[in-house]
Parts: sequence; structure tokens; C-alpha cells
Amino acid sequence: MSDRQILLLCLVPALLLLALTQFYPLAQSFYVSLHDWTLARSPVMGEFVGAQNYSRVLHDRQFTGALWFTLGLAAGSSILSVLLGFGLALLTVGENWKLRLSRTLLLLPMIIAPVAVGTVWRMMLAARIGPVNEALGALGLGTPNWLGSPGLAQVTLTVIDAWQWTPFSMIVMAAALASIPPDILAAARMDGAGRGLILRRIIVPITLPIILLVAMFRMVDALMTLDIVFTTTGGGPGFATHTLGYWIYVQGLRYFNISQAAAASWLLLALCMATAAAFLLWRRRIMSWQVRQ
Amino acid sequence: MAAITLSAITKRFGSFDALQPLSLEVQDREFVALLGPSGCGKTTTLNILAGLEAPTSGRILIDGRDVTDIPPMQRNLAMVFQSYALYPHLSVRRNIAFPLEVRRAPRAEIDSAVARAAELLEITPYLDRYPRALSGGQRQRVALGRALVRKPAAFLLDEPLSNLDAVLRLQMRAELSGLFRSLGATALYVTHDQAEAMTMADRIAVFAAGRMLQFAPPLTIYRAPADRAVAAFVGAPPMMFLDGIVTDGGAIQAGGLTFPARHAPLAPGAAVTLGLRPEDVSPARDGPTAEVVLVEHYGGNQVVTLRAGPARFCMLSPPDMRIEQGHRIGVSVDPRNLYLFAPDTGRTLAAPGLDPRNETR
Amino acid sequence: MIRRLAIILALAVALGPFVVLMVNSVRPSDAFLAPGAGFIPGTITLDHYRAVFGGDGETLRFLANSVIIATATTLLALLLGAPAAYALARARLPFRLSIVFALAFLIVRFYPKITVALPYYLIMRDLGWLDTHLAVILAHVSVTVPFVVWLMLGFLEELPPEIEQSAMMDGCNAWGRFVRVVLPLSMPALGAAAVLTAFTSWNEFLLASTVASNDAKTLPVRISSFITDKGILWGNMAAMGTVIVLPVALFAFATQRYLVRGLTVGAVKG
Repeated sequence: MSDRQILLLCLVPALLLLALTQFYPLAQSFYVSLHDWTLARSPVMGEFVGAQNYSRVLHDRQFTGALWFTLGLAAGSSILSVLLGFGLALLTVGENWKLRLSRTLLLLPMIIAPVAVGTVWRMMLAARIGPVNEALGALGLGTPNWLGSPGLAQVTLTVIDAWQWTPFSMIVMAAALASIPPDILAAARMDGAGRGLILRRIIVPITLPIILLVAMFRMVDALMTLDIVFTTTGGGPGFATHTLGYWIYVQGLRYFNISQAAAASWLLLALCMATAAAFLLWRRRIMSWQVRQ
Repeated sequence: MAAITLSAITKRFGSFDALQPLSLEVQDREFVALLGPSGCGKTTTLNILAGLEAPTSGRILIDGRDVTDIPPMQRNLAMVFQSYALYPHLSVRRNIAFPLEVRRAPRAEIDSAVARAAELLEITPYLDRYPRALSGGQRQRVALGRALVRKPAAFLLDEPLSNLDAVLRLQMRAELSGLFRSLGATALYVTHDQAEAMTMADRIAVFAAGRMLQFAPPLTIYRAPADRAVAAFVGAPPMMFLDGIVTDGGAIQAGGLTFPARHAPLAPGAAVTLGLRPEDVSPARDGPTAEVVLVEHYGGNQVVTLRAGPARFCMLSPPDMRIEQGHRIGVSVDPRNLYLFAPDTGRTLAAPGLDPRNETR
Repeated sequence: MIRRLAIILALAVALGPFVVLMVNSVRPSDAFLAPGAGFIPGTITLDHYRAVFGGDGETLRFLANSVIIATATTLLALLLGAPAAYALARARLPFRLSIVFALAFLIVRFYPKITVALPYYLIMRDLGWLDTHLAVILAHVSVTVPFVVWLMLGFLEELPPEIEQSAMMDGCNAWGRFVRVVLPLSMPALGAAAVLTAFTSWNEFLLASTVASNDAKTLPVRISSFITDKGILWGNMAAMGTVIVLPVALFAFATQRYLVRGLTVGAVKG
């Protein structure tokens, strides 16, 4: 057997699996989104309806509500986690064992299942037994209904998501900071630059491509948020904390409203891809600007 | 061991000609050096022979068998890489045994072959170490051991000494030379170091800009270079070139100096390029004079840079001779040692090695 | 000093909730409702663990499912991903197919899995594989293989080509080079990929909940349905949460070197 044949044999199984379990379902979901199908009413797909499912979904108040909440959550969570992560990276950058241990411990939130994170926070924020309100109550600061009032629940969920994923931006940016040649920082110090100046004029510009990459991953992932909704609010109160993913999940897998769920899921997919593309283009522009300098 | 034939090999990368049509015949048991500056095509040639790169056109024959389309693992060639390419996850013993293990040789045979190679290279004490625990010279020996352990048709060596420090390089140069001579092995040796090529090789192929300029024994390369480029590349300190004109008397006039010459008749008034090797220039009380521009004393000898009119050239002089910068001294060149090149093509018109009247030196 | 305080504050915010979770998992049920009972419980109980694991033994089964599925996913993802990455890095395919395939692996990271979940459910239903380990494992492998491939691709790029050329001259074909030379040298990358794959599978909720209703149910799916079917039993929920969180935390601590490499590699090289 030639090397080429061997290598092809190495490649085919993984590609085949991906085709069968990802790309074929992806295509089928698009196909279904163009037809009329409610699994609860019929086991087989109905007739071709074109873009009808899409227009119906886009005119659905629940869907648009979920869309706005998802966008707000994604923006808020990614901004928060990028800023906090960058701060934590600056705080913990370094190679002594205490700092390394801190970084490892700070990773914990992101390696825990999102559903478990939801459970944990539901417990933290519970009205009577939760430590957060107990502490606030003891200080006389009132006991807000974190997950129970619509507006506040949306903010709470955003903060929980940021809490879980801040470690991701921290660890990536810590690596980016560690890869800045120390000579550059030493040179800047010799040139008389203070800490703030070094941060603004040297560290941030050098790590900007990676900051943007982290922001992209955070934004795209946050748009897909669905797990934590299950164990914190269950989408409530009312429909206030339905993310797009959660809405699609409920429509598709609970009410078996398959074709509309498929259409909505393709809208979400388009949103994710567009976001990723926008970030990559932005990043490319910034990097080429750096090269031209 | 085997004879190797490259016939009309070319290599293009995109629109870049990395290798002009190249034909080269290496005889059985011959040690051939591929010499040239970096980017000249010598490593490409070696890789094509090894099978690591495919030629754009041309054929490769090993002992008459066409191996052009045969993958490297079936060509039965052993290669020593510049970076040694030792397997970092294997001990020295397993590194050397690797080619035999891949071929599923019997255990006993592997063990004895490894022991023999290790003894030959004096690395027996390190057999159970890992590459990262070895010095540069030891790694070099392990890489050699891995090549020696099987019986390849030929050895391919890609700048094997260039990562060693200067002292070790001299020592390994002598060792390698003796080793391959005693093995009677066919070897192709890529190097940019002319001293390695001159001292080790039976024949040298000189490369420049993707072309093989000359393929000949070391002394022929030195005393009868095919053209100006070869002459410039071989020799240290290097040959200096002066623009000259043939006088009516058949001598060469260059930069205000006149050199008597013995060469195939050239029309008087013709332009030539005169090549002078520093060791061929000697001080002479009654010769034409030149101004001393620079004196570099190397301990064992001194290199004197001279100027006569627009021309600059060098002279190798004995260490004890007092030469003052800024003074003028008389010089002479044995007419038999003049090199003459055509100014336009660079082709050699006269060289000591081409003159049948010169005895072999 | 300020730096140290800030780090301690961050640690408290990051780890505090987990401490609460674990403390609540051993807090007696009646102590939950007593106002001002204090954070440290007066007595400790294992009742919640007994409740969660006892009786029908269901939780034990879900735990076993999670372990089986995470293990099988990790092995399969490496088994499929590592050779595929090697092939992508080394095979000279026409029409830039190598880039196309590499992007095919990459793009899996960038669309919501909910889009795939619905049809995947239908496919598994048609195959009669609903609620089997295999259905969950295949889903998990399909989302983790791309990660293995990209991590390995990054690593293979850094591998000096002479090592493999040398193996080629020594007589290894592509498979021999991969198994004898590339794989042993890739252990750091493989380790990172394995750790991250195991975490992903252990934590994954959406696809598992789509195809597993009972027999193949994993712990995350179980805890998501905890609230609705039993009301809020805080102690049991805390015990269940601890069962999910603790193994991952310990595993993360044991494998932190690989974990950090796996998390940072793709992003920093960008």
C-alpha cells in the first residue's frame, strides 16, 4: 500500500463520522426547515412550504423576545468575561507556585458542567436558604429575587454565564501575556514608561489579536447558551429567560414542532457564523494594521 | 555498495528553477562532496536522490535500477541529517537499532549490529542514554551509527558537521574521512565548507544557483577550475580577480602591473580577467611594485592586501617578513600559476592545472 | 499586597459556590429552612447521598453511564482524530482538499449543536438506537474529534520534518512513521486532547438529553430533571451536584498541565 493510500485510510473514518453525525443532520435540518412538519401530528414530513417557517418564526413574539435576550446575554457575558479574564490574567501572570496554583483553582468554574453550574447558582441565590441573600439580609441590603423577577433574572443569568467562562479568557490571555518577550517590557521600563502606559501602549496592542479571538469564542458560545437555563430558571419567569437555544429545544424536543424549530435553529446558526466571521474580519484588519506599522 | 546515476534531473518550485538539468555519475565506493553556498541546489539534489523530494524531470538510477518513482524507504539509502534527527523518545540503543527493527531483523542480529556500530563509533557507554542527555559530538555519532547499522547502497550526509564547534568539527572530519575510506562506502556529502570537501572527497561537485559548475577531483577543482565562479568559491583566502588586457608581447597588463604569462595565444588587446591566488603571489625585490593596504597576521602566515592602480589583490607571505602598511613592495607571480578567464562568460582560458607543461603538484 | 487581596477575592468568588454546594450536600434537611442557621451546619449527615444513590440505584446507573460514555468517547475521538490529523498534515491532496477538510473539522466548533440535535434524534430513532450508549457516544465523538484534530494539527506543524524524513530513510512507511515516531512524540498533545475530550463528554447535556431518555442517561441529564420531578430537595440536589463536580475537579487538578495546554493551544497560536 502506498503512503498516500495509508494516509487516506487514516483520514476517511473521521470524515465519515463527521459527515454522518454532523453534516448530514445539518443538511437534513435545513431540508426540514423548508417543509411543514409537526412530529406530534404526523410521523412523516409534510409538504414543501418554502420560507414560511422562517417568516412564522420571525413573527413569533416569543422568538424575537428570546433573540433580544440572547443577544444581550451574549454581549454582556462576553464583555464581562473578557474584561475580568484579562484582569485575572494580569493578576496571576507569573511562574511561582502560588500563582500557578491560583490559576488552576480559578479554572474550576469552566470545567464544570453548565447544568451543574446552574444548580450551584440556583442554590446560592435561593430566596430563603441561599447564602447570598442571607449575607445581604444580614447587612440590611434587602433580599432581591435574583431569578424570580424578569429583568433581574436576565441580568443574573448573564452574570452566571460570565462567571463560568471568565476562566477561559483568563487562561488564554495568561498564555498570551506569558508569550510577550520580557525584553520588550524591560525596554519600555528603561524608556521611562509607567505601569499604566506599558499596559495601554504595549501589552494591550500586542495581545489584541488574542483578545479578539477570545471575544469571538465567548460571543459565539454565549449565543448558543442553553444548558444553564434548564437548572436556573427553566426559561422563566414567563418567557423572560428563554435563550434562542432553549426556545428551539422546547419547540423541537418538547412540543415536536420540528420544522419551526429547524428554521429557528438555522437562524441561530446564521447568527453564530456571522458573528464569528465579523470578529475574524475585524481581527484581520487590526492585525494587518499592526503589520503595516 | 552501489553506483549512482542522476540523469538530467531538474527541479522547479513554482516558477523558480531550483535545479537546472543535472547529470552526475557516482561510482561504486566513491566519496563525492556536493559543494556550494546555501540555496545552490546541493541539498535539493540530495533530497531528490533520497526520495524526500520528487524531481520535476529526469531519472535516478542506483546500480542501474531506476528508482525515480520508488519511495525513500525502498531505496536502501542511509541518511545523516544536519540536525541529526535522532528520535528523542528512543534510547541511543533503540535509535541505532531502529532501521533494523523496522525491517523486522532477528533480535540477535540487531543486538550484534548495534554493538558493532557502537564500538566502531566509541559510543558503547552511552547506549542506554536518551539523545537529550548527549553532547553534540555524541549525537553526531549516534546519527552515524543509525546509518551504519544496516548495509545501505549509499550514505547521504547533509552538512553533518555544521552543528559542531570548530575543534570538534576538525576532529570529526578526520574521523569520518577515515571511517568511510575503511568502509569502502559510496557516499554523497553535502557541505558549504570547502575544506571539508577538499580533504574528504574523491570528487567534488561544485554548485551555484541551481547549476552544477564542475565535477572533478579536489586538486583539479583547485588548479583547473571550469570557470571564474568555481575559482572564486574554492580557496582560502580566496582568489582575487583583476581586469586585464593582453599586451603585444603576450603578457597580461592589469592595474598598472604587467604579468608575463604562458597561455594559449590570445589576440593582443583582448580583455581578460586575471585570477591570482594569494599563495601564488610572492614578494620580489625586482618585481613591479604595489602599495600595501592591509596586513593581517594569522600567526602562521600573513595575508597582505595590495593595491596597484585600480586593482586589488592579496599575497600570502611568510610570518616573519616585516611588511608595513602604506609602503610599496615588489611582487612577482610565477607565470605558470596565472589563471585567465573570459571576462564575458567567465570561462577559464588558462589555469595551472590545464597547462600540460606544469608538472603535477 | 493589593494584588494578593485581589487574587484571594477572585478565588473566593470562583470557589465559594462549590464550597456551598458541598456543605449543603451534608447539611441536614431541616437545617435548610431554619433562618439564621448559620453557614456551617451543626451536624453532618450523609442522608442526601443515601437518598440519591439508594433505593432504585438509578443514580449509580447514571454515574456508570457517564463514566462509560466519557471513556469510550475519549478513546474513539483519539483513535479517529489523531490519524486524521496526521493525514491532513502530511497527505498532499489535490485541489487544496487538505484545507477544505481541516475547515470542515473546524466549523463544527462554530454552529449551535441544537441545529444538529433535532435531526440527530430522528436519525437515531430511525436506526432504533435511541437511548443507547452508542447514540450518545457517537454524538460526543463527533463534537470532540474536531478538537483532537486541530490540537494535533497545531502540534504536528511544530514537529521538525527531519525526524519523519529520517524514519522514512530508515524504512518506515506512513503508518510506521505515525505509530513508531509521531505518536510517541505527540503524547503531550494527545494528553491535552484526551483530558479535554473527557471533560466535554462528562459535562455535555444537549445531545445526551436529546437521545438518552433512561437507559443511557448521563449525570448532567439527570440533574437537569431533578427540579421538576421531585420538587426542590436542596440536599439531594447538592449531593447530586457534588457527584458531578467533584470527580471533574479532582481530575482537573491531576491533569492541570495537559488541561491548560489544551485550553490555550489553539487560541494563542491563532
